[in-house]
Amino acid sequence: MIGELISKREVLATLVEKDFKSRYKAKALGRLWSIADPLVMVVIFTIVFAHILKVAQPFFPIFLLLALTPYRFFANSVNGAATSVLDNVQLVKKVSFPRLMLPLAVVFSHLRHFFIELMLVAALFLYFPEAFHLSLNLLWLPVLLAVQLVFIVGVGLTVAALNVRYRDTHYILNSALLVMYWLTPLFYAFSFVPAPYDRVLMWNPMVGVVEGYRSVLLEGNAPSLMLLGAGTISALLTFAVGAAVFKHHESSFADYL
Amino acid sequence: MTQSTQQAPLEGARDGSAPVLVEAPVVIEARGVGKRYEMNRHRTILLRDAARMAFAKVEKDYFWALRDVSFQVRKGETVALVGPNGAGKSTLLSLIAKTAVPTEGSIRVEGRVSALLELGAGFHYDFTGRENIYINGIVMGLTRSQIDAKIDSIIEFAELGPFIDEPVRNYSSGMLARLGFSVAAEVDPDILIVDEALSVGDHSFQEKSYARILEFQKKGCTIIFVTHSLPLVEKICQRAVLISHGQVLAEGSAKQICADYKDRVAGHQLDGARSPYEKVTVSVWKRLVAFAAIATLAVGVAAAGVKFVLAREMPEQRPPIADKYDRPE
Repeated sequence: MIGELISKREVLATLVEKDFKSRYKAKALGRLWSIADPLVMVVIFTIVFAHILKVAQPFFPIFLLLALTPYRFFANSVNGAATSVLDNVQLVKKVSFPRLMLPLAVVFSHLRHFFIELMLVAALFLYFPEAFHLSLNLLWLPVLLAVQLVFIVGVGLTVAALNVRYRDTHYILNSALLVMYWLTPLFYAFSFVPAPYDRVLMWNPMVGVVEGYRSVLLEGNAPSLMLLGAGTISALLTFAVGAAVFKHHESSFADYL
Repeated sequence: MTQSTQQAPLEGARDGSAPVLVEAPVVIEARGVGKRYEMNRHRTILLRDAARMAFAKVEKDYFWALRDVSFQVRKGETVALVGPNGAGKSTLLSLIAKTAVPTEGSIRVEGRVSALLELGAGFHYDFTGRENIYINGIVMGLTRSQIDAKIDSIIEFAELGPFIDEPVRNYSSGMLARLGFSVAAEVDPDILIVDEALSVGDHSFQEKSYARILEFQKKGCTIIFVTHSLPLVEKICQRAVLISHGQVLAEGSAKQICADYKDRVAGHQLDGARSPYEKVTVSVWKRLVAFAAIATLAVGVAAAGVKFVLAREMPEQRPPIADKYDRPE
């Protein structure tokens, strides 16, 4: 399976390009949408949480965006992956190529968006230079991204495969994403979560990842190894489930389209 | 491949005799192939169905689109699949193209397959013709540099002119079909699958694509051809396979099979040897246990969650909001 992916990487690259470009086709603002969306969210959430609810958090916009950007990468990828096979019905029915590439292409295309959105984070750091901490702990960033990717691909493969046969998957996913949205520490720090909730919620891989980005960039500290460790374990389990589910269903995709 | 083996099929087709191609290797071999689809009537989609079905004896209905299909195609042959609508021809093509997997039996296909099915259907409507050539071509197995080399001839063959840089959504159906054919024809396949592809496009394009298919034939490409036009079958195919109700009824030279098919249609003798429908009774116990387990789990989690949340202490009551706005001190 991996060998085929490598030998046909040009196909994957083309599908990534297609997914990436199709998001901007026939849109007046084009790529600006990548920035506009999170910008609006940061403004609204800063007003609501920092000014109305008075969450005592220095540099709230950065604090929020450091979590919101990775979360959006997760949510958008998973949402796109869910319909990735259905969106390419004709290709799946007509041409034989590794089906795995459809959800993977969506994830990689959103990875590119993620990097674009990070420019907004960079801009905020330029505005609040005192919030940034330069340290060797920045080397953790690729690790955090890797854990995040493993988790995203795991969920993405699961929903992509299940959604072909059970179209309710997409609805269930939307509810699940809403739950994830509030259980991932976007508007609060995970340290505020009281026992016994924290022992349960820490198994959400996005917790370790999001708090990791904050520790590294806002404090110059290493990520919490307990949170990241628990997150890595669930991410790997999710990945295993996703790979198994996808492998089990992929040969029958054309039968249900 | 020698010159004589390349010429043999064409000769065979012209005089209508069965082609003799003993030395060419078998490139498609189907052995007892069957493809079964679950019929919609009892498919569990709704939870309500699941609850009902958990307590009932359920028979699942299956439909065998193909059953016990065995045949061989040798390299360089042009073989027609003929038969009435719903015979299973397209299902068979999808098995050869490896986009679907047989339920039983096995099918071995050697070499690169390119399919001229539902031409242009895989195009993305927001992309230009040029962009779609790259996307489709690469997914079908060409490399980017191969397409770079062929792009001009693809565009020329498709007769799109300046429209090539327009989004495909602005194309007429004929333009779409021409573009689809041009891309698929450049894939340089070992096995070419043609499914009614020639019926789209205007007369001159039909002639052109026809000529292209004959070129493939000359190059030694194996062609599987599906059409309802029997004269066309007799004209370009050496052999034909008659399929009806998912079963192979007859196999032989194109001329024989076309005659046979016409006779059978006239005499209403197209029924297969056995019914394509199958009923399978599904065990009640498994489903009952699974349903009970899921239901218990769901209710348990919901109840525990509600109890847990309600047990938290409440903060003090705020002063009424009117105190702030309507009755300022």
